[in-house]
Amino acid sequence: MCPDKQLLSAYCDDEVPSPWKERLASHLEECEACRKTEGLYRSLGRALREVPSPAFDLEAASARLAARLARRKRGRLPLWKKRVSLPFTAAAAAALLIFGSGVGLCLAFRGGGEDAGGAAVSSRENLAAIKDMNELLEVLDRRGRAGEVFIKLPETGDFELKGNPVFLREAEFSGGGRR
Amino acid sequence: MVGGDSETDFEKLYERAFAPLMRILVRMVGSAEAAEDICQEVFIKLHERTAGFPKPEEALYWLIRVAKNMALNHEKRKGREAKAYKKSLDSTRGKGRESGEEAVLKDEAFRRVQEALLRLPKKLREVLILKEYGEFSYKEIAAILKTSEGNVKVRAYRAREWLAGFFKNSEEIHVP
Repeated sequence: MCPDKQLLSAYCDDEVPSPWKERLASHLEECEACRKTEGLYRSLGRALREVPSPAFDLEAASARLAARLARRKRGRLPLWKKRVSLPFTAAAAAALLIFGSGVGLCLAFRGGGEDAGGAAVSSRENLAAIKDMNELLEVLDRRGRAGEVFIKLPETGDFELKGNPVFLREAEFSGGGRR
Repeated sequence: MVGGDSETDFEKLYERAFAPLMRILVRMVGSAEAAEDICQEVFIKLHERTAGFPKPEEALYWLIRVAKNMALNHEKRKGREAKAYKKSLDSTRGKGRESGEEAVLKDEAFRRVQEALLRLPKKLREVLILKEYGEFSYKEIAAILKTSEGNVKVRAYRAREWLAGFFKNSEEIHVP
């Protein structure tokens, strides 16, 4: 008795387990009709496999996918880790804005400091390079405003007298008042 | 994503599945460009998927199932794809191996086989393509299609009978 055609189809797909597979093989040797069906199924499979596939470059396709995945991965980074590309003009405008904001903030702080604490904040400059009293007076004169000067004496206290003491009057200087 | 965690699982699956998936998709949609688009989309879906798979094979089956569904949806624009396929076939054939009557017969046979495959009902075609081009077993095809092995066996048989019927009233298939 001939097997079901479904079984012959599965046989062509190598999906019939032993011992049925061997029994089917024996039957095919004897039965021309079943051999014909088997031949037809196998020739259909061969025909399908031998139809040329549209040409494609597997390597290039793989590279394109890898690049796309990498781009998407970058897109999921936290904001501070993202690479941002801007046109030059936009980048320049952004830089200018950031710089301007910084300068503005700085000036605002400086202004606030003077309002609150007078000259104390703004006049803290290192005057160590000033060699003598005249130079100090010139510096103060150039500023044209009042200021406090702190003179740090050497820790040893080992002084020697140089020149004669001088009294200075505020009115003798053209700038603003000084103490 | 794929299993335990990690990019490594994804990369392994990518290495294993990309080439066969492209081969299957090219056969299903009949166009290299469309196949590549689908292949990219499906790998991106997998990459972005947060739910894991119990086994690595499950990820492979999922990938092929989704790709197959996308290919079938794509087929709604079949007319265009068939033209693209024909164009591609025209460009790959007749490049000098044979000449004369044999080459003409072979080209005609290829054209008719491809036409038959495109006309084959979807449920039968997907099984035949996975079997012939993907070289998956009935068990694997059943897992991909979420059906039973018995159903796959029946569909493979019916696909062959359908194709045999398609060619019955025309000339014999010229199998080179």
